[in-house]
Amino acid sequence: MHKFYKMVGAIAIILMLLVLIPSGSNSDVLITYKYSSITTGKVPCIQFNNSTNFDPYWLTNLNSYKNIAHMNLTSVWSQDIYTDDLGIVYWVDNYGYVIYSVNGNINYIGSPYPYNFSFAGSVVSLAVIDDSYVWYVALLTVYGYVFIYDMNTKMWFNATNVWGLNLQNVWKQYSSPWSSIVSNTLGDSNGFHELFIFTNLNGEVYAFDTTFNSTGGINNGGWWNSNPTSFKIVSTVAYYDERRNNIGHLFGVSYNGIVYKFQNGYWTTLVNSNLNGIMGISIGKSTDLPKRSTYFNNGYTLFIIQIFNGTTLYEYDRRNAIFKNYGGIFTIKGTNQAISFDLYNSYNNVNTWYILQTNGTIALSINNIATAWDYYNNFLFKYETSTALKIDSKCSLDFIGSLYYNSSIKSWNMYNFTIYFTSSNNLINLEFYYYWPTQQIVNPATETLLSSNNSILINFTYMPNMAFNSTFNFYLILKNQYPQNAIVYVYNFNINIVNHFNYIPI
Amino acid sequence: MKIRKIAYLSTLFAFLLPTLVVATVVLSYTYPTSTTGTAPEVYLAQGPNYATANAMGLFYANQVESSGNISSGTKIYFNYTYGANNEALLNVLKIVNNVPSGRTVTITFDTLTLPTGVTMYISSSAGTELSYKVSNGVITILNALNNQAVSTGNPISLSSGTYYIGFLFSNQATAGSGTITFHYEIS
Repeated sequence: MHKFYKMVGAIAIILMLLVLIPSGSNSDVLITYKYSSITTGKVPCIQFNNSTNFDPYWLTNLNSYKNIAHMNLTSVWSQDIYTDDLGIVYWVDNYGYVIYSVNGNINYIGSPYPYNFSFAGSVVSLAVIDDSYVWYVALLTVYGYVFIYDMNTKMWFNATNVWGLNLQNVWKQYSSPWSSIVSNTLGDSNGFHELFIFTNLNGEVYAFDTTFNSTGGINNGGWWNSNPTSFKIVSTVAYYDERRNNIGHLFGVSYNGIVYKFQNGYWTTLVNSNLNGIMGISIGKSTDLPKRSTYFNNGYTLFIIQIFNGTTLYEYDRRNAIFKNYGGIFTIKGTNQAISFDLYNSYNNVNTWYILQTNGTIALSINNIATAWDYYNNFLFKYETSTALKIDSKCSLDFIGSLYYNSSIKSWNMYNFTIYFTSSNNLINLEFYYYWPTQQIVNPATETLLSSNNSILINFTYMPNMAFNSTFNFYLILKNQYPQNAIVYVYNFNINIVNHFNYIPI
Repeated sequence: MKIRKIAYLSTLFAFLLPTLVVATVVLSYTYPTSTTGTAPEVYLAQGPNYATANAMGLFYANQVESSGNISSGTKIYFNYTYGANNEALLNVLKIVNNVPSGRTVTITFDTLTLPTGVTMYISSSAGTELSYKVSNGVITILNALNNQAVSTGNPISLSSGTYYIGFLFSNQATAGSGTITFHYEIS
């Protein structure tokens, strides 16, 4: 009975509460809304268009994914240098611009590419044949295309087509970059054939003989080695030892410092230099080794250079099977890229080494012993990209874009670096500016119009200098022009400014 | 004994009180009743930048033209844009409070399960539009209530006027669906 009263009492209290609570609330009106929301990814009306860029390594997926907007931008750098049979010095950047110097007088040849050479890839190497038959300046591209400038006719021609070269098929088959072209400099002086010799990273070798049939015959040419190796040859040098039965020699070197000799269709290891970061190999006159210690018994031996700043030449001491320091430090201005020795004048006892640095500086030795150096300064001036990236708008609204610096790696080793936007109304706006001599970093983030159904162009200028491969991160902020505070996009750009071919593992 | 007394009296009060009241005053009236729709005094509607975002295909929330509000149950579509790292759609919605001054209006977001990486902001005071700043590539919404995204369960007192709503898509935003529920009380 007691339990019953308890239970009845509890029910009663609950009932009282149920009656009293509504009148206890202060709300007069209570309304509830419920909405469902759906979020989807949208193909934007703002599209990133890289068709104007001719760099085959350009990668961007700005139009595909969120939060991933990486680009590789192959910069321009001086790539190779060559001294011909008459002591004329030529050098080329990776975009194919050729300059040559005759006794210090600078001449411009230009590039074989009128605009777009993505099909052929960047230029990796340069060689010249300058004899009584032909005077050819040959460029080899990373994909194995060959372009020749005929110095007599002052015309470029596509040797891949005209000579029926098939080097590019090796690239297609193995993706093995072509890395070096040489000629048998001075080898023709006694009537021997003048060859262009092409080598790729896998050590495959093809030769083309220009001497008696400059328009297609191979004579002593053809595939000298078509079996890929694992040697990773980044630079080669050819030499005719005219004082020893006119024997031809071909040497190669890998980035990790192994020097190879090509003989009877095979590469064999000559010596491990125990030096890393080797970029170039040449044959020159030693002035401190006795002739019994040089590779050739006429005082000529192999020389190699490292990529690093603050290094010297290294010469090959055959008796001790080592590479030793030679001369003085030449690398004070940039990353070392290639070396060439003037054999022609050396036979008149004027020994000159030319060392090309990526920023266009050429260090040239001014005494016979390479302890004093002069410089052709920065012939590679700042490079202006045609249009690195185009931003197309199919939007019905006008936008305003600005660039904001985020972060960088090694970018401040560049000599200069600027980013411009060209607006839809053709105004060129400075977005970012860096200048090494004053260490000035400016980010004005000038507002740039991206009008409806129009574009913004992004242009870079830079001199990579000692930057190696550098990374520059920035934000592109796009906001609709009217009304304000409606739509804001932040795009995150990660630009890897490539300053060497990707087979150089730096 | 005491409990028994209370229980007895409570039961009597609960069951008999209405009877006692009815018994005290016996009056009878008849009222015709009808139900009609009326524009609410507090409602969600398209914001001043709705047209802009909608024109870009980024936002859609159908509004009842006759009343100007977005009906409960309406699906709100909003899109992030491929390639963008951060994206903000500001002042695309608004909450209008037309309740005459002197009465208190509170709004409470009961559910806010937006897709991953999407947050919602409401302006800090009536008549103040949301704005933004970008720092280190990250958009921060300005003029937002408590300077932060809207959270659930916290009653927000609304003055008379208009409050603006915006959405922020972080770099973690993914496609998905969600629910926004809120209720308001007028007292």
